[in-house]
Amino acid sequence: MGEVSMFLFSFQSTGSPIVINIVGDLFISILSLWALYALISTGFSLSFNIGRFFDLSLGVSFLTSGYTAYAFTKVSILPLPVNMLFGIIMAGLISTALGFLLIVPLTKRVGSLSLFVATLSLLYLAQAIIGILFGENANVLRPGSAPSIQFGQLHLTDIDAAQILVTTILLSLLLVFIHKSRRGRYVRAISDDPILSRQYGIPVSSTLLHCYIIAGFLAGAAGVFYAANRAIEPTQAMSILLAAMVATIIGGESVGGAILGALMLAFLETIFGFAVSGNWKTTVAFTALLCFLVLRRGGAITQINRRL
Amino acid sequence: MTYWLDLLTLVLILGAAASLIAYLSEEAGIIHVAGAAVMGVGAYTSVLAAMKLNVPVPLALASTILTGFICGVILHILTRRLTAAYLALVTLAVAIILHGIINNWVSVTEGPMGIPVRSLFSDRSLEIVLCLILAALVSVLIKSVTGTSFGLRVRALRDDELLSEDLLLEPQKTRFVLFTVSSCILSLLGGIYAHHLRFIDPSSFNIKESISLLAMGLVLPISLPIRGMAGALLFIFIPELIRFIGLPATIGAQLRQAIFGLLLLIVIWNGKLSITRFKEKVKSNA
Repeated sequence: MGEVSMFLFSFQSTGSPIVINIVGDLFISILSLWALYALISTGFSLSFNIGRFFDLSLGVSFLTSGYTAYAFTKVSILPLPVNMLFGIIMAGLISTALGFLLIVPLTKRVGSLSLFVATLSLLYLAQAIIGILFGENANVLRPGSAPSIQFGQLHLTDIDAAQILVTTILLSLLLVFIHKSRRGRYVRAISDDPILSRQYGIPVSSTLLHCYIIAGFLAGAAGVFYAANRAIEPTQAMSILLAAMVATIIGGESVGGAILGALMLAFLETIFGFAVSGNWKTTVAFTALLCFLVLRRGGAITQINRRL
Repeated sequence: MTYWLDLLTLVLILGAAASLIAYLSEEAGIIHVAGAAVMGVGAYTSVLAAMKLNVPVPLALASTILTGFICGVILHILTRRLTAAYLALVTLAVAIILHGIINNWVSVTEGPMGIPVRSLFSDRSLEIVLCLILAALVSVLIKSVTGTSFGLRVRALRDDELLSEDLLLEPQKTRFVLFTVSSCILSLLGGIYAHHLRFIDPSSFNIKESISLLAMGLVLPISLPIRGMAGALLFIFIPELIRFIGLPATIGAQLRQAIFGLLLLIVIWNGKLSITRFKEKVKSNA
């Protein structure tokens, strides 16, 4: 509760500018966390809707992009955004290869749970390889304090600004792709009824491959921004994936819902991080989400409805 | 020799837990992602009773059944009207919350610092005997319950919960029994696990461990009562055997993890994962 007391004290003693600053900082933190979760949860949403499995191999793209950008930063003199772009491209290439060689063939051979375990194995494998190549310690993409940008009363780092902007653009493009393109119509059709879609001649496998690659790129974008904003280590992907998975489900599985779910989760984590001790914030946020999942009737939650 | 016996004890404890999780997944359609977390509740109950309240270890272990029952009731209440992914997600959230409580309630659990634990028996071989008996009991329980009327109600719950309600098969009561009994056993196994390790910290009961437990229960295409045990053997012994290949010490752990991940992928690619066979069986019956 220390931060709340400080906040109230600042409010009483110095007036509203401090309040605006704190609210502004919270707002930026929420948006930054939303951008991270939204990029991954939309990927989850795509694979869950098309392949009916939770795709933990998004963690592979997340780690690949972050560590590729880190490696390029170490060995090249190119500017950071270019290195980050290389990271995202590498994540896309890896997800293309995995999707083509492993995930799509596996969807024809095994069920959802097996696919889940297979993606978990891929994540284990990626964590181990990255641990061998870069070590287990946290690596920082850009040491030192990040340059700050000011919008009125709001202060944010250049990476925060870029992350929020890029996420907004990418997710808008994704929504346009899903709602306006022919392939997007396939995605919606398979999501509604995969068996009927197949009977109507919709290419389910190639649509899954497209979605898997798009999800890989999005997770790759999340990975480079995470590495640039914080510090990246091989075991970190799992906790972020779980949070994004929760965001997908509370949003109701659709891509739009996943974006909204990510915002809810980011809001809860940031607000509880402000109100309670830092270590408790995830626990409190998940408790609130659990209450939401259990209490909410309809919408984001599937219930057994009487047929009569 | 003691080292291998220790590993065997771990296989028996985690294998029994994985068998229960496998039964819930395959027979009842309940994807339980909070297995390690419920074991953690049992472990901390027993350890706190034994180490802080000086309760005799057997009595401390008995108290884990009560906390396991409470966990089961909570899980049942939370997942009462949920199925499939949503049910799995709620158990996942419960696992994260329980781990968070264990990790952050430092005044009681000592948090990440962990607690040294008194062992159950001075003779390690007696621990193996106890674990062997418990693992056998879990296997027998799973085998015998499958053919009973309760076992059939469990399958009905998995196949069509609404129909089983219409046929007065009391699916909610069945779920309650499944959650409470499995949680009591998981909690007891957690208590024994803690006294076997002689030291516990929250990392032994995190979400990664819960997912590993689920994977142990799903990975091999063999009979349900012994599947968890075989899965645990694979998950515990293979990484340890790889240790003896003579890998460099600095990257040994990562190489073991890489080889293990690869092996798991090969198993799944070959369609040997038990759940795959199960789906095929259902399809052919239909």
